[in-house]
Amino acid sequence: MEVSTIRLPEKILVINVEECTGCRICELICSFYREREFNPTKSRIHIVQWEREGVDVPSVCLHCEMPACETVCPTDAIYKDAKSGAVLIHDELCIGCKACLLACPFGGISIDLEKRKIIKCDLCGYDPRCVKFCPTGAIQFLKVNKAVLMRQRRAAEKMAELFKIVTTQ
Amino acid sequence: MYGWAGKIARIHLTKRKIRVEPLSKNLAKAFLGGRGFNSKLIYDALDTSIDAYSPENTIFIAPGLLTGTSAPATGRFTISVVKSPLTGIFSDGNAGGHFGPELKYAGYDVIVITGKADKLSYILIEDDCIEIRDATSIAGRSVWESERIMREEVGDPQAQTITIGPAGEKLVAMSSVTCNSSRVVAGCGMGAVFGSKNLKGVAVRGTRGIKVAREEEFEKIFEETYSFILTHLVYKDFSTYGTPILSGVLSLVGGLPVKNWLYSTFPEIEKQDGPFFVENYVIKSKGCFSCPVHCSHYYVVRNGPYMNTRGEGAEYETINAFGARMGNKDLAPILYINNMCNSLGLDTIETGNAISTSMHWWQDGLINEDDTDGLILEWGNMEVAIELVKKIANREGFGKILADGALMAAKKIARNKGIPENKLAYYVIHVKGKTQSSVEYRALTGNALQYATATRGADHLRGMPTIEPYAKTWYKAKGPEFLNRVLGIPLEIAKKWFECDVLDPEKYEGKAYLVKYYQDLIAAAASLGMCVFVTSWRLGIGPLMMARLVSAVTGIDYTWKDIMECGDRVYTLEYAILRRYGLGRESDFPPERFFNEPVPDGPKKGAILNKDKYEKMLDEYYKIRGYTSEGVPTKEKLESLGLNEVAKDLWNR
Repeated sequence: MEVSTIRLPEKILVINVEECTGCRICELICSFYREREFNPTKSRIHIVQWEREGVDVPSVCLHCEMPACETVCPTDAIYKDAKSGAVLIHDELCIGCKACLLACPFGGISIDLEKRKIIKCDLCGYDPRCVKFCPTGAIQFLKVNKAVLMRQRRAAEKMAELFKIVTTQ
Repeated sequence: MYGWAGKIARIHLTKRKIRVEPLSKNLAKAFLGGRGFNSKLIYDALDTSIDAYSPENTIFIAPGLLTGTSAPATGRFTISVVKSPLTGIFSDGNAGGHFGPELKYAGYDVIVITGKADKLSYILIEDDCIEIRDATSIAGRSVWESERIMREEVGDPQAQTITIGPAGEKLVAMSSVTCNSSRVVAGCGMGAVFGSKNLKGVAVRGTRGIKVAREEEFEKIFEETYSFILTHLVYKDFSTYGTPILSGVLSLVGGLPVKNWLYSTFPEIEKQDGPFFVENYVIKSKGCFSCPVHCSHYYVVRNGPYMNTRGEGAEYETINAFGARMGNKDLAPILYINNMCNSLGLDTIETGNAISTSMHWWQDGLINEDDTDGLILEWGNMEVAIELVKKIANREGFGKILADGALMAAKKIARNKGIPENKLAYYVIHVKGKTQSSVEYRALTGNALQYATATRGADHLRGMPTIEPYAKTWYKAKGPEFLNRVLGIPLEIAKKWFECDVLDPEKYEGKAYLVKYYQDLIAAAASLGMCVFVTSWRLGIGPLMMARLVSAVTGIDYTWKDIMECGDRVYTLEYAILRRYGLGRESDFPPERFFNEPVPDGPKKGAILNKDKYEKMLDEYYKIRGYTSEGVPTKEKLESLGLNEVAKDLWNR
């Protein structure tokens, strides 16, 4: 792979796990926008829940710079779009081997059970619908520098909280 | 069919037979789904003579018409039974979480369960496959363990389940059915009906989609309702604090029950209020399926004797039941008890009432250590309350007396001690055998009328006119347009309220209009699978928006009047069921204490209900509903709603 082809996109999907309430509106919006039906199994985003621990984790393609799914794809059906940075599928090249499903470390690849084909997030043409309707901002589509700053700030806030506790005790 | 899944599954546990039939279009159109379907199917199968614990009792589980779509807060499902072990009449309850939509995705509008399994079992539904499976290995296990083990056994950690805990298995009449660990169908002992059928729960996985008839129209109205909710003037408070904020709000307006409705003020209420809860215990907000309000919370107690209590919820009802109503000023033990009730499978409202009523009996010397296994039932003694919750779930000692509900406990204790039943029953704040949720309404006549005429007993979720406590001071000044804009109340109805001046909390005249609106609207909402919270109750989705959502989804044109008529149809049918159970006008009254004892303290000091005026208000209510002075739906009324069979049953016998 030529490293020179890797170029950071302007905007990236950002997941804020601590903000996810587990309402799954994103799954509904995604399946309706893409498949014209409400069916979480056809959604490109999934919320994995652990009720007793109070944890809800949005699982979606993160559009890696060096996608494992692309690397393992035997027919080069998966490619990274140079312009948008989205990892996309050439449906006509896909042979349905599911190697991408096994390779993805984030569970970002799904299978449409009815059409028996591989499906994944394509960023809705650079305007992700799930982001638009997430009520808490658990999933955002941000310019890279903003995304980095936001995550830095969130991590720092936790440190600040810790500092407050330590200094007041 | 669009919107509906199109199928009803009938499961006979004794015969181990499963039959799937198509959903009738007429039923669908007239009753919408959820509670509407269940009440209609109950009426059709009604045998009032059966025992609640007999195999003949039948369970109906139905997601709403909008359930499974992205319409805001519509993921609810209703569980109904022909006979409740608590009240001896039909009953239902609904819950959010993720079970309802999964059932719809599996392809079912209603699951009907009857008979009794030969050993403890659960039902597994995977799209077209329905199986009755052995559950003996999880006998006696908590809701949480059962949920985990069932998912493991099904081999699908994302399968959605409803389960009962030990309380349901032990036939406790206050037991609940739970999905997603903490989303609870409670109210009238549904869990015990599951238990009596040897049914530990249901697991479901569905992969079918729901299509809508008019896609573009739906997208438009969805975006409109979604942004309407997110910009609503109470959205921020309710999405941040959820129902616990009501502790503070109701305390300000004198609507807080304290010590089994003896008082209405509680000096320590600040420490049970939403902001205190969120600041000190909450980790994050939790939402039900398709709901942008996320009013629930995941909490953790970080220190003290209840350290490491982690769970979801703690709604206002639970906080009041085990807080002010029990004379307890600490929040941590309430969170601990909330977890206990959720895992044991107990209804917190009913269980809280059983314990706080006992504390009231104790205060007045009607019971003592000899009755309570040596427990000291003083107000606010939470160690004892915790002990009693355990005893109730296991039907042990004094817990066995309380396990059938406060009213039955009054009867049992009176019999054991040879004192008149009424002496103890007088303390029990209930209607139709169901004890009351957390509202003080001696100064709120509309609330009184609603609680008394709620078709499953004293219940706020049947149509409590939530605007009443604030009507005089706030809504009244703003006029009908404001009610229309903020609460979604059709202008025609809002104007009528102003004409009849129904917003004055202490007036009795015209109150029936207010109550009928909320009761019909919420019957419709429960049939659509919509949470009461986002309706005119609080966040303002009224019948107009409901009608537009339903029309877009089903492709059948509904007007807001059609939606209200569907609600009226469900409500009136439920009234017909009550009348066939032999309940008459006398059952539509608030508890006697509210007519005898004025509120002794707080902003509503001196408030009391007036019997004569209440009688007149009830007359007006029946008249507006189209019922006789005995509260029987008239032939004309029934026929106007298309309930001709019911008219025949009630009037040509």
